[in-house]
Amino acid sequence: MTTPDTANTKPSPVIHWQLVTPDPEAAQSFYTGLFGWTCDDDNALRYRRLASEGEKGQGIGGGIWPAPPEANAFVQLHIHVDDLPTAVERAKELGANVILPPQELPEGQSMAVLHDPQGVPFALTTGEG
Amino acid sequence: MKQLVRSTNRGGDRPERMRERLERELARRCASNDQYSLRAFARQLDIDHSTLSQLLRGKRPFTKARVRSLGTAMGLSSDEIETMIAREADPTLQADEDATTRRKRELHHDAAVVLADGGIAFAMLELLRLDDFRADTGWVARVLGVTPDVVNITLQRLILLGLLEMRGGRWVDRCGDATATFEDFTAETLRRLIEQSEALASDAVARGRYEHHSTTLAIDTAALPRLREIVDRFRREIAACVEASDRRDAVYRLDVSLYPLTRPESEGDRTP
Repeated sequence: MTTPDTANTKPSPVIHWQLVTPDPEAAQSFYTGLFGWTCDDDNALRYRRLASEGEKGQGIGGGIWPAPPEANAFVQLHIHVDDLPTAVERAKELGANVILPPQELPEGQSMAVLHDPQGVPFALTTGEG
Repeated sequence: MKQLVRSTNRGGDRPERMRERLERELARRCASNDQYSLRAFARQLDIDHSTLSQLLRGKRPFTKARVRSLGTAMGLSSDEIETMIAREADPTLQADEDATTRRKRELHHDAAVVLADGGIAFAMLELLRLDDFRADTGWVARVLGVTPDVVNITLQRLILLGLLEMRGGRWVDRCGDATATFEDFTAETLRRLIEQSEALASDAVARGRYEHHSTTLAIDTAALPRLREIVDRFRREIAACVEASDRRDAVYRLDVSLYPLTRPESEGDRTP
């Protein structure tokens, strides 16, 4: 087994997934209708939280974020880190590009969005879910 | 206060860089031809349009050969081209382009795109100054009469441009009293901005909150520079008057337009 090329010895879990789409209403309707997930936007950013973790909490929660009309829809994984600035620097060293610099969200967690070296977007967050 | 002005002031006495020259030339061609585009400009410069776009956005450096080929295509003199090559090679260039300069350049290029695209971006930034501002997408959407999704798309764009930052329960304006210039906007961008202004004005009329002053004048076009000075002074006076109070309880918009109703006989003169 090879040692992971990372400064972190503790594996960072995927704690959230997010669909970024120019038509959030349609996405919400499709996924809630298909899987029975509930959607709640009662928060400061009117962020559509999808309860996709299941009743026993065996899955992970998701959400929908709006994109401009000309954008393509895509899914983004959110990975928990304890130290966001250090994790962002490490990701950059490994070839990632920062798209959205670290922001402190209304509920207190911080988040940054990056592109991995192959151009796949992902988010680093201090949030728990 | 955020101001959008059409300006030809490049500022400073330093030699013009190739990027600035390209911006200026593109703006000039767009101003005299509604159909002109970056692609058309790229074709005439014999360069791939995406390469030209990257050069204009500072995402790609200007090599000596590139400056020479673009300069030749634009009909610059060899002296002008050599000055530009020297300017690109200037080791102080990076130091010269400090964070503030970069921010201004980004505003210059991108604020227009944000404004024309999202429409409400500057209004959102101005909202932050209201005494009762709430960092709540739903509240901002209600105040501006748009959907929460539009607010969030604009919010993200402003963050991406470094014009706004989220700090917990606060949204922080990072650009201050910025003035974005329209010099390098395309005719299409300007048109969309004007349409957006009209839509906002129409909404204000419906709410009985619109003051309109319009005057049609027969003028001596030689007086245009003087008229523009007066418009600039008027805008500055309004700004000073607004800044005189610390209280902020609403966001208003002031549009000043001066444009010809008659078409000049001389071909090519479409100066507004």
